[in-house]
Amino acid sequence: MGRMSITGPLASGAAMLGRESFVPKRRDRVFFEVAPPLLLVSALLAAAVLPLSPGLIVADLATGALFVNAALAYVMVALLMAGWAPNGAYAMVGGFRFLGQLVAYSMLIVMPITAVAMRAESLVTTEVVESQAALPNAIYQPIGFVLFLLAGMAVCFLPPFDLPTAPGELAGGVEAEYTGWRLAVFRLARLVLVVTVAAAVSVFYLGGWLGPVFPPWAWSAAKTLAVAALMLLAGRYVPRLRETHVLEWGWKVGIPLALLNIFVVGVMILVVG
Amino acid sequence: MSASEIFQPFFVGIFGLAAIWFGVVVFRTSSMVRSALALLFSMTAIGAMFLAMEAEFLGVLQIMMMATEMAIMAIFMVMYMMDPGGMEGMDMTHQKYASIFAGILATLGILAVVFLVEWGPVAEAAHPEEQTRMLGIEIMERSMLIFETAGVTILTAMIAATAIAIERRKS
Repeated sequence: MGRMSITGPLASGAAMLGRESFVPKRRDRVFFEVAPPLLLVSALLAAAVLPLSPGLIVADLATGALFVNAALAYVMVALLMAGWAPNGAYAMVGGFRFLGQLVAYSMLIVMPITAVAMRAESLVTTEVVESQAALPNAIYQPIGFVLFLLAGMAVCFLPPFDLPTAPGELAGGVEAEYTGWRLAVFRLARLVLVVTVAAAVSVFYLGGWLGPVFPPWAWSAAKTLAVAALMLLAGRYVPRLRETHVLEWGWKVGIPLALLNIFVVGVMILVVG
Repeated sequence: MSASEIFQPFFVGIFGLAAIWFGVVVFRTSSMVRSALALLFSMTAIGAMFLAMEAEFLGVLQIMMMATEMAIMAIFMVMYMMDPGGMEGMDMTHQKYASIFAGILATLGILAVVFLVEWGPVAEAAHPEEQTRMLGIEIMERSMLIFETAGVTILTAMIAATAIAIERRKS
């Protein structure tokens, strides 16, 4: 298995399943068992309203864009549970850190989606994609695009926003007390979450399935994977942020910019149409 | 009888029972975090009831808002309670007879409302997209003053709370 081996993740996942899953002695049993599956379920629920092609969508809700946000809110609940359950200091610090992180990023998920819904005049995800036929939202509203991408990385607790796990500082944080198959479920859930958020970026900002020559599903898949790769790679070259800085920049820089984005998009809709 | 006529009451009932059960769990546990999250899942079940009753926007909003609110409540309970984990055998219940009496009285009141009110025919739910539009028009027209007043009041309270919490600098 070399550096770029495709079978690498599969092999390490299978190896994790084979290891013994230790459990802490005085844990909150329900939370400890529920947290990893809840993380997986919330990521899958968010993915259910994101279209891969015009007909290929699990649930085409009238409030799809809002539902993505509702499902992603439970990522925080899962991490809070995972942090609290093992009765360990590192895990608990990690869990509560993510709650603080949510306070920083949650508005930067909702406000850019608001501007996207304004242009589409709909919360239906398929209509959001169709509204970008002339120009993708990444160009129409670049501020919202950048904010949503960064907030998306914070949802997935990817570097430089990996405060709840913080390898090298919190010894794994919320993951610290999980081993064996439970850790495998947790890591799988996080990867599913990354792909879901990447699909959301593709649907809201990159025109989803729209594109020439290739079939719609291929465009969706390509855009989603490209965004996921970008999200996974970008953080490797930046040092981990401090939680105070995440909050400070989120509120003092992010939210004013998100409001400006809504204002600019509103003016453009009124003037240009 | 169509499939939706059978399934709709079934799911409303199931989520209703889940909401009640999680509500009971809130008071049956002595862990603050468990209690707060049980309340969260009770509220989520009510959101699912809204979805089953075809009030889509309301349901999704309920499910979304409660996650953050209850998690923040959990952290405050951990901060201020002496035994947040409930591992030292602290008893959360008190004034048992008064609460049993209040509970029975409230249940009788709710049952009276359920059975004595003339509910009229079942209203046909508008299409989900139409509901969202109607809600938007309601907020921006007739109820605008109420929402604006509430918004400004909450903002004022937030700024005031922050101002009080900031430590006074020594001159």
